[in-house]
Amino acid sequence: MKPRTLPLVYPTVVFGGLLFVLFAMWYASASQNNVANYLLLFFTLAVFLVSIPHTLLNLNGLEVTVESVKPAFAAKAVVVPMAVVNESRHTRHGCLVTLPGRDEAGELVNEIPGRKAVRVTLRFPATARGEYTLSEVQLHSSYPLGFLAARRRVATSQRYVVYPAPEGDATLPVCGGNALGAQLESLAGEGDDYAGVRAYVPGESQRHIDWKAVARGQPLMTKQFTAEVDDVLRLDFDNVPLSNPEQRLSQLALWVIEAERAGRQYSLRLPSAEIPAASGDAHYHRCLYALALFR
Amino acid sequence: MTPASTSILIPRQPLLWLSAALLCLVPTFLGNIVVWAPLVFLCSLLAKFWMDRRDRRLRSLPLKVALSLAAIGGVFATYGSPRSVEFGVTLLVTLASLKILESHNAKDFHVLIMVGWVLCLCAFLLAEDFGVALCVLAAFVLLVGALVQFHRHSGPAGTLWPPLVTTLKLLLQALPIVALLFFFFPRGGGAMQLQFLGQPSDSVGFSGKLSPGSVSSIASSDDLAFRAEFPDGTIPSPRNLYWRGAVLWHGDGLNWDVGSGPGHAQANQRRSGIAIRQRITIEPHGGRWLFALDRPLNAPPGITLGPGRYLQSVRPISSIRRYEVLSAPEASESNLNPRERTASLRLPSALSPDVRALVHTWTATTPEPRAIVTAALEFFRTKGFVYSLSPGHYVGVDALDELLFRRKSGFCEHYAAGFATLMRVAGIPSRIVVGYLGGEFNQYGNYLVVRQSDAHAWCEVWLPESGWTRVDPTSVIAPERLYLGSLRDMQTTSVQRQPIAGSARTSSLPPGGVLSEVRQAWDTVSYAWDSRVLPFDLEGQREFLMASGLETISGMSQLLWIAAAAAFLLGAYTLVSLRRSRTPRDAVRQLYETFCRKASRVGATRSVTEGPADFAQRACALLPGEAARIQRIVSSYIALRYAPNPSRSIVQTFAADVDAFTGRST
Repeated sequence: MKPRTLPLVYPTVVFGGLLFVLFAMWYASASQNNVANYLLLFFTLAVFLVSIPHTLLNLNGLEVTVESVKPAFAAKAVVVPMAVVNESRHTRHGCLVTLPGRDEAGELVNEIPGRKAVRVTLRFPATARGEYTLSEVQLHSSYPLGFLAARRRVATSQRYVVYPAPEGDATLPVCGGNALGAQLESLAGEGDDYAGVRAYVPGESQRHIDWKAVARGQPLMTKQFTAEVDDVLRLDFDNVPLSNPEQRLSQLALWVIEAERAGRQYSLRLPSAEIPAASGDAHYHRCLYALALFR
Repeated sequence: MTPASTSILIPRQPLLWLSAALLCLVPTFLGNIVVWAPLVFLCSLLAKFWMDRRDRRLRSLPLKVALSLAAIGGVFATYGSPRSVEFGVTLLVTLASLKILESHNAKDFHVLIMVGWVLCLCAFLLAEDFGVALCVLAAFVLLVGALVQFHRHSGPAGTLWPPLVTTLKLLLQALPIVALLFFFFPRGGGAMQLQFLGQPSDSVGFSGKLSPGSVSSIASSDDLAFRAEFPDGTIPSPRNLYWRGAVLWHGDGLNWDVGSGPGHAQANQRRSGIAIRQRITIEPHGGRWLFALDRPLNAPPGITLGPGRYLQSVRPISSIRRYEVLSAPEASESNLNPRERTASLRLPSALSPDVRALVHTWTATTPEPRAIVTAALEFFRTKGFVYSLSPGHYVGVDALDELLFRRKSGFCEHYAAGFATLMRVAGIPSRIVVGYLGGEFNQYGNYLVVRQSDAHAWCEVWLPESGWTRVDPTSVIAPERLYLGSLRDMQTTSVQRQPIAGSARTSSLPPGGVLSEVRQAWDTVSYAWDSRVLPFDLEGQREFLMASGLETISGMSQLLWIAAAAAFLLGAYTLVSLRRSRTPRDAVRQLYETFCRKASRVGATRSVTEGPADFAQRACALLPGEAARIQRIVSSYIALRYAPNPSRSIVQTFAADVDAFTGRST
């Protein structure tokens, strides 16, 4: 059972207007001893009073399940998909789903039928790189009359990562920007020194599959040659020709993207971590994640 | 209010509701304020819809300012001074019209809702009859509906019924609180007077004087004067339904007024015949006169008896008033005090020789007052007098001669004035009583409706043997105006509205028929509103609290009690709604959870992702002593969950097994 917080009910701006109207009604009826206006006052007051439990109950039974949030680049939008589940039997109306502190990322759900769920996707701009936790989702509703609003925060524990914004020079460094790279580059011409095998990744050229091993009943393996090793792009934080560490991270992020797009092998070295050369989606995200968490 | 909802435009649906609400209020303004204001209001509502479709609105600030100034100027030009209710209401209506034109977002929408509520208030300030109440109720429901509709945020194709149902549900739940507030909310003492609200101007109808010719407009007025109930069940016959309003002592030819009067009437008097109890609900008229059957015996609280036994309110009647009074038709004073005698014998300033000669022909034959009265009545009957509502104006000093000898045409007030003057010339004390005659019996509500067109005037002469005696000269000139079937006849033959007073009625309604029935039914409901709801003001509430023995509670603790009771009601609503909205509990799941809890207590904790079969396998290994039971529990659970039609007995064995499961080998 999740810890459930009670909705907070508070008056809205319109409530001020209602107070004024109620006062006018009271003043007119009291000074004129006018029973018809007293009745009008009583009806208005009573309808307002009755709307309190309705406001309170409108958020009752609503639960929020935040689904996994895809990583986003800084300055792009973080997309938070979630399901608002109505566990009660009654329809809930006009519910605004927001993230606390990010009111601009609200989505209004017109109605959630009883025992149904509604999918909501919140978007907000990712500000700075890093890893964040979505600890709360806020539900807000001023149904039925709008004089009062109810607000309830539902605890969640979803994390999301913001990668550094890819910025800088889009052309990949020729030699990974270091002397070792240049040395390897010079070796690149030789090209077919056998360097071992590694697991075959679907999509790779079948030319380098170790067919003899396959004939022996072993799984598909790709033979590796030094020529390919030479092709590795070594991305090193210390060798990025920029002074600002954030700019360096952005440049590295851009290179990672470009390298992945070009289908090249790349490794990443940060002062705090080192990721060996590889390519592919998992590697790509691993690199960007390391960049996001860099401190 | 969240930032997201302030900027949104007013959706079409709530706008429709709001407009309908405002539309409901238009009829309440028609006839009460200057006619162009509701028309402007109506036009701007229509214009709003026309512009809304084209996504236009009043934007330019100079235009707005110009229009507002024009509106304010127009209202000033119409009313002159701002010291009247009508002025305030008209101003509000015209400014609301402009607001309608410029409104486009959520804030404007809420402002318009508030304006709508204030307009409801204004409608009641202008008039509070049942028709107005219905209009205001409709407007109120629609305003609440508009709010509900707006905050539901239903899409463009929003449906009509669900918000209406919600609104009605809200209203229904509000009713007990309304009743609570209505009975116990402390009423204001009227200590602070709204300065700009003047008293309602003298309405048409009864006025405390008599100047024939100014009256014919009343005679055709169908407005309500008052309604009377007879709690004891004795209803006098229609010819005896003389409703005494005021006694006029001071006459000058055809013009009579109350004059200075001979002081107040004595409270006790000889009384004969049966007393008739009446409960009268009088419409506000701004004056102080009240009515009772001829003649009232007592003065209810807040009411005095005027000279000549008529009721007079201490305070002007500016809202509906209800009072009970006892009248005795045959009541009479035993002697005439000298001041009364002088007042009732005072002759007009100018009298023509013709009049004196006429009176002399009667006094010469007999000194007996009764005989002189008969002779005078005979004169009116036989000398070709005609009853006419439009006899033309009688003006000048010889107005009386004009009536008696030349034109010979008039209605009750002319004849009463003429007769009373003749009696004074003959030396018989006389006075004029103005009031109403007759009334329309309402068969649904068992009460009598007296309208302005029932206004009547008659004479009273002092006869030594019987005291002040009613003489109605109109009855000899136009007897058909007075003699109708009895009220009981009216009850059995579905009542027709007939002119029974001294003045003919120009009723547009055909007599009888469905229309008349509907009209009576409407009046019954209207009377219930007028007599039960409207008089429940400061005094009405005080009487109610005294009757229920709660008058000792102070206003403050009254409020506290109301708050406590309202809080209790709201708490009850909340609990009931919570209970009703809860999903029914799943017994099987609950039992399974109990089992898992028990197992966890003895060391076999099910992980969240573990299915029942896997868990059973692990639990059996952990708790070998209970392996058989665990297997049974889990297989029943699986059967209950996944078998197409699990039998009821499985539930029982499942429950029994879970109950017996302790986790310890026995």
